[in-house]
Amino acid sequence: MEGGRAMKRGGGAGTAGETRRFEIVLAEDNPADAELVREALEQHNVHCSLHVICDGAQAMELIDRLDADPKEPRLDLLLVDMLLPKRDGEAVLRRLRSTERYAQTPVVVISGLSSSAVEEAAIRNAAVVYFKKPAALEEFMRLGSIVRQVLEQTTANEIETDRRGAA
Amino acid sequence: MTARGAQALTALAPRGEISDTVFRGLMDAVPAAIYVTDAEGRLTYFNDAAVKLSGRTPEIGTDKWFVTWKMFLADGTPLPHDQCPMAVVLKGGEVPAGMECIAERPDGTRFWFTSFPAVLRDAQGRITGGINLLVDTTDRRKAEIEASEQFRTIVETTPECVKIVGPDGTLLFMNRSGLEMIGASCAEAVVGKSLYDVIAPEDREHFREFNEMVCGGEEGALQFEIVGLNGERQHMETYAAPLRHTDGTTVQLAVTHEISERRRAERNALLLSAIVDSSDDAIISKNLDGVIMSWNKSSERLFGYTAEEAIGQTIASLIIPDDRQDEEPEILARLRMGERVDHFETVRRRKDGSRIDVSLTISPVKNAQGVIIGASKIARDVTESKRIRSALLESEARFRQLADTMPQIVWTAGSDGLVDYYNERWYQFTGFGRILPADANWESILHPDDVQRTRESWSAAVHSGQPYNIEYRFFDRQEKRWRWFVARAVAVRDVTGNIVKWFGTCTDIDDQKRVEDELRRADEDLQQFAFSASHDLQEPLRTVKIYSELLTRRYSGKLEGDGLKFLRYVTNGATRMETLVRDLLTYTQVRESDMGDNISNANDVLQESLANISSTIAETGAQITSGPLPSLPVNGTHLQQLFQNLLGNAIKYRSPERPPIIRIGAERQNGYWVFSVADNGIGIEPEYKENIFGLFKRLHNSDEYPGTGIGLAICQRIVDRYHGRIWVESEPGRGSIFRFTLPV
Repeated sequence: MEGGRAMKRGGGAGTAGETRRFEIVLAEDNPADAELVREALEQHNVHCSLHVICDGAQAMELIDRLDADPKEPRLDLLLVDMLLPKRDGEAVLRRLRSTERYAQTPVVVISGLSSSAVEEAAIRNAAVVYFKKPAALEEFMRLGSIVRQVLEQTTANEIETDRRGAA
Repeated sequence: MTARGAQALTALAPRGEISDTVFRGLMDAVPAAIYVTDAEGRLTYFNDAAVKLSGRTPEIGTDKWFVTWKMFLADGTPLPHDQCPMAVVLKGGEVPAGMECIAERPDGTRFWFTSFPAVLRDAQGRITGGINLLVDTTDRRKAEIEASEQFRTIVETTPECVKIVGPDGTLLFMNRSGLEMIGASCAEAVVGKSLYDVIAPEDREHFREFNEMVCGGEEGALQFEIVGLNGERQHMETYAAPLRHTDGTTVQLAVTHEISERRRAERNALLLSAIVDSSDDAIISKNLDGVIMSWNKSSERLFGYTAEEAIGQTIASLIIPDDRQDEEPEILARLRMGERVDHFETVRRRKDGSRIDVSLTISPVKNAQGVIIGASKIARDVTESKRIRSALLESEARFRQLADTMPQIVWTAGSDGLVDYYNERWYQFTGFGRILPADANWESILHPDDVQRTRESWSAAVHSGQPYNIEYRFFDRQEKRWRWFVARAVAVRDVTGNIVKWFGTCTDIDDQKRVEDELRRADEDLQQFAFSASHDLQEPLRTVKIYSELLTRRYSGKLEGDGLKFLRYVTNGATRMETLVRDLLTYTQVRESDMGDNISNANDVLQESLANISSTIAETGAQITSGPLPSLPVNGTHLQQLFQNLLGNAIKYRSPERPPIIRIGAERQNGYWVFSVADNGIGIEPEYKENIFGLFKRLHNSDEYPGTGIGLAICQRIVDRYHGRIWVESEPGRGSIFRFTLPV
């Protein structure tokens, strides 16, 4: 996914029910799992550009760039595996939370491990969902539905905020 | 006649129910004095017995209360007429039942009587008169007085001291002999005072205790000394009994006599000769020429000569062997100088010529003027104790010889905990010299970290007498490093249970300890490896499993023949591997640290286990029953794994011909709970009974019965952790009983 070089601007702020193209970054080193995430999102009709990053260091670079340049498309959701090469998932999360634009961006943590340490790191950095990678296909596909719900909730909140701002 | 009888009589008379003639005849026939008065006390009637008793015939209607005579109370004080019992009763008062009075006849003679007066009343209850009955008690009184006089005479003439002492030691009475003994001029000098004052100070406490004992109701005898009022000491012997005193207290009545010096001497002599005769030692007295003056029974037993044979002979000629003749002049010389010979071990000769080992103690005997006139000699047979001593020496030599051949360090310590002996191995190991006291150096080669707890442990053992057991490090001077030893010691006690010695060993366990450490480390490494491996294996496995699923779902329509079969193999392989990894993880997670010390109720744990496998139970129609199960100190998860694995197996290996019936039970045996899980399944061939508990051991291929071969290994590992056992009893084709033991 070439470091998320070309992110296309999405379809603007859509209303509820209208399909909107979300910008999602997935930090996942295992291409098999990255493929499954893509499958899951497709299965649950999450219209998005999915940018896959293979290690923690590249993920942090991308976040910095997206934050620095307001012309870059706005990131709607970060999916991050906690066990990443170079820099781990928690470092990526901390970097995201320290930015101006993405401090509130929803994050879904995915992990192959069922470990309380990982779970705590996720909660500490305000991840909205902690998803342990299941060993059955159907269960893995549920990730798509989870992401969809998170995005819908965020959109609803944004519309509410905009309306208040307009008034 | 009783007072009640008299009352009955008076009640009858005035109502005219019996005629006056009959009444008078009746009254005259009564052998007791009876008279009747009006309300003022004037006589209206008296019988013959009344005349006889009083010695005069009174005037009817004039004399009052039958009283021309003088009356006295029992203690001799005069009783005024208007206070006599009849007068009291007529005034509405009461007279004590059985009150005795004395009356004097006109001729001056006196008599004792008891009166039973009663009043007569009319229909309105007014007193109309009285009737009195007098019983003559003079004869009984006389007899009492005579007896008391006799007793007083005996008491006053006996040469023994008779005394009565109150519970607080106050002298209440003492006869003349007693007063003489304590040097009192008259009774007033001592009666009413504390008797303890005349008891010799050293005996006073004994006497006080004795007095309290007697006043408490017990009889007894006591010897004590008194210091008389004239300062003279006397030895007394008393026999005492409790006596009920007139004021209701219990006092000591004692008869006491002096034990004369001679009598005491006689007694002492008797006692002494009894001691001498009963002594196991030969006790001989001799004069300064060595001539035997006395010879007790043990002398006879020891040397064979009777007293008749021995007395008058010289010691030298009788019992000193020829080669020891020079001893006697020396002994006699020392005795003449007033010296004593203590525990002199030598040899003497018996009548039959045999020799005997003796220990002699000889003391000079002085006469009343202090001049040495002879000697008393005590001879003890030491043949036996000599034999024991040499046997002891021999056994000690044997012990040392044995100890020196042992590869361990062997040591002994006294009851105070100080080491008094080490075997050869100690000196080899330490290089210490034998010149120093054995206890001197052991701490100097002990590892500094071990010194304090070793001291404490050893001191605790020495104080309690409990076995000593500790592991510590000694410095090995040859290898220049610390070596681990286990020290153990037990107390050796005499017949009365007192510790006489500690017997200890130090065994080199350094190699063993190192192997143990390595083994433990290896086991820990293996567990760590197995844990990480099974964890890390799960990740790629998940990918294989999930993609084979995806493949099946999306492309099975495009595959044919072998393609589909191969895909199924992949899927099945991945599923089995998943189970395998999960079970392996369970196996490695059975660790000692999880044992904890909580108590599990096996009934509850079983219910949880059944709930977990409820779908399997429902599918197979298994009937599972259980007896009462105990609560026990076993981690609940462990117990659940045991139940679940064994129940799972019992259902899995069910017979195709019948639904599974499983029975779970537990019973207590030799300090363990023995659990059993019995089924009616296919059973196990005897040759596989041991095998099945090993890791990855399977008897069937996975097409017949799926499984990883880890379940029973997990059971084995859990039971091992609690130092228990697990085994199976089975009859192939009929069923199996798995049993395992867990701590109580």
